[in-house]
Amino acid sequence: MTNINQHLAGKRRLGTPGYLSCLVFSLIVAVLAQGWRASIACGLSVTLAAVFYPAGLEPLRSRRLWLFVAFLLVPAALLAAPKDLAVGGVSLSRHGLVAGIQMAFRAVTILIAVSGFAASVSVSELSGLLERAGLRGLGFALGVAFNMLPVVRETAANAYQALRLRGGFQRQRLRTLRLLLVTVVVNSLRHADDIVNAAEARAFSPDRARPLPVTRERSDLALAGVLVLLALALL
Amino acid sequence: MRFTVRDLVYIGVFGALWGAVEMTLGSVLHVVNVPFSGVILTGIGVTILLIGRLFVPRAGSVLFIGLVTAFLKMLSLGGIVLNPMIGIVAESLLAEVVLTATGRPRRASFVLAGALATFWPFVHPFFTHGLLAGRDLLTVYGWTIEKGAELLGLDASAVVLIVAGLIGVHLVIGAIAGTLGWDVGQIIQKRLQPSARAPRVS
Repeated sequence: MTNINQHLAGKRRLGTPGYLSCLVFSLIVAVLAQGWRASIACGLSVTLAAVFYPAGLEPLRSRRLWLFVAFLLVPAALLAAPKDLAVGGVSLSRHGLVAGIQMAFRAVTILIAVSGFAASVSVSELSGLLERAGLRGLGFALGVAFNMLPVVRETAANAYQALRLRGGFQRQRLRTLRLLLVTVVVNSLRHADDIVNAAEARAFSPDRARPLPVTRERSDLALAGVLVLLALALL
Repeated sequence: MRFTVRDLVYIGVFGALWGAVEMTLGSVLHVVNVPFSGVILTGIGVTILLIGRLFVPRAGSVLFIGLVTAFLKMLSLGGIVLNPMIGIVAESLLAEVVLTATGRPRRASFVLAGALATFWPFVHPFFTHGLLAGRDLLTVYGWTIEKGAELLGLDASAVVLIVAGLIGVHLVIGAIAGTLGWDVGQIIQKRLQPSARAPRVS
């Protein structure tokens, strides 16, 4: 995880609190901006992404996003009343179209902010932030979960194959599924006991462990102040 | 919330179990377009969550498992993960509230926690589309009725029946998840009894 932090730190323009400020700002203005102010919120979110976390703009290249935008726009324009606009012989509702565009702005704002945050802040930093907020031990639990994922997958695959080869899924399927669940959980917990023993042998204690590091930059506080002012002006 | 090393490791294990279900079965159900796939997936996740509570019987453990799963989900895809993350945290929060309020783990509290947590997928679109994306709540209600009519094979005009049916399906699947969580948890505890005799070091 430290390597990931160092890798991210090499490209970063803000500290973790700065990125968090951008995320919170974007979410608040996207949800609370009324009418066409949603477009200003979207513009600000794109600007923040372009300056501080270009990876947040990646979803704009995705076809899925534009399909989602079309899904917001088309039904709203076609189904809402009154139909007071004609485009290429198709009757549309101006009110529905406007509402759809505003919803699309909100959705894009949130998507850019979340994608940018996820791409810029490592999970270890995020859990470090949560640990500082009182959720002690979350980083350690997350580390265990990451390491357990391959074990869980392998255990589940082995148990499934063993049950299938013995004809387990041909009869009494529910009982077999329950047996599969029991086997996977029991094996995972046995593996967990090894992790507990290893951690205790190293005298690890969640109370004494240092929270995972969080990167800070001087510009974080200034940016947070500017974003608060912008949010107040916009809302 | 103070957890021992063993508690945290178990939280990580149950988070990984739910995360693995979300990443593998979740994708499959989404692609195959199984009816009520969201509720089924939530039911399986809640079962794992509740088994976890039997092994870490402390306030906050279920919420921690949910947070670990949500973080795993965050890394699983490059696409839109905000919705499932909100769902996972909300479901674990609902289960946590019920289990903390009812005190010592019991079958009844597990059934109630399971039912309430699995009810979230019904509320989820109202929260995400309505509150977050700014959709009119009536529009989301309309979608819910249309989808419910299609899933239950009813006429869209039978609104009360559709809503009751959808709520019923969610609660029943949740109650089954709660019962299964309790039963399977008991079996697992019995299976692990010899190793469980080892002294717990905090």
